[in-house]
Amino acid sequence: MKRVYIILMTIAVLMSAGLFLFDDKKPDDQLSPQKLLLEINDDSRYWSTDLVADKIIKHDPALLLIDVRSNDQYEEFSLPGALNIPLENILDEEWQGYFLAEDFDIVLFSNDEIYAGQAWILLRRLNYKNLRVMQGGLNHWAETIMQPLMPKQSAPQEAFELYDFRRAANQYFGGGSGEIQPVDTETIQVTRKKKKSAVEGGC
Amino acid sequence: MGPLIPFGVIGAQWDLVIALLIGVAFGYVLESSGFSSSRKLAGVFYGYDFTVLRVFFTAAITAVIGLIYFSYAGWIDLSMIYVNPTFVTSAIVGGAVMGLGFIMGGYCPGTSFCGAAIGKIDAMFFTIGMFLGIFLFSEFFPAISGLYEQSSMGPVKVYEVLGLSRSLFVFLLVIVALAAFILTSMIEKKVKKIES
Repeated sequence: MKRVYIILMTIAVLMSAGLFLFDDKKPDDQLSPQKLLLEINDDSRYWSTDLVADKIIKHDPALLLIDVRSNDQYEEFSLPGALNIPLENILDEEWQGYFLAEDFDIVLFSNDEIYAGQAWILLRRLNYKNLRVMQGGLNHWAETIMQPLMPKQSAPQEAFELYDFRRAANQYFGGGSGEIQPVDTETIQVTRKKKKSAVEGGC
Repeated sequence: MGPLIPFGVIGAQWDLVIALLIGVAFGYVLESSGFSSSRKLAGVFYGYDFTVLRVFFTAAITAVIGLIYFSYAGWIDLSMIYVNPTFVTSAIVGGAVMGLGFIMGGYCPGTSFCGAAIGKIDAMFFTIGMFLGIFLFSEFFPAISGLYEQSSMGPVKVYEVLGLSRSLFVFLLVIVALAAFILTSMIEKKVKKIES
């Protein structure tokens, strides 16, 4: 047998034996802890209640609100158009399609930021994109949109403009009664993307 | 990064161009390995020429080792690679039919075009027969679809079915391939070579 064949065969054996070294390494479809840490320290994921209110009022078609509180709390009060995915069910297969809808700005919220923040970390770890957290949660929503405080007379013009916006938003969301009828979630049309479609092809 | 086309690194409009380039390269390799000769191809069944076995086995182990290393390096997402669904019954029946045609005609689908391209009349008749077969299969598909779709296993991989780890399976495959190379070259030396 020619020497070159022997060399090539040895290379093939060594290369295939080398696969054992990498046996435990999983493919990198999750976000690395280092990158996640960077993103946790970056607060661009937060959306203010004013921004969320503005988008709801303008019927932003790319807005997808997700209430991560329990179903009971959701039934009691939630933002209009919000979808209820309790935190403990957030990894269920049936919801994954919503997070894959990359055309949407997915806004997670809870009473404060804790549950929403936990949901955000879980989902970012799974490398879902376009996830936001409503800053301050529904408590802050109540303070800012439901019962906006009149700024002091000495406050800058922007504060008054914001106050005007919040009062108008308050009117829109039901006049400060605090009672919001959540929209029937069945009507939310989300185009679910397939998780990953393999390339079709053959021999 | 890869696969390049599904991830949009290369636009899908280049599909046909790339297919053409790969086709030309594949045809060139087949022809230069002597695969446009039906004698050489049929030799694997009669035991005097095992080039076919060696070439395709080499292609398989090169591709499998390369793909796995690429996936470890993060250059290709293996979950995006199309895996043919396995239909056990139709694979056995189809394999028998294809093997019979291979022995009788001395070509497999790709090489018959190679042979036809360099003007071999048997290859041209083989391609005509192939199209006839495709036509008949399509026409009678409703009648045989039961058989065709029987015992579907979905897009499974061999090592999953065998319960082996991927690395072990690849290693064993390489060993088997190399053993086959050595064995077949020993057989070839004993059998008189037929000039193609």
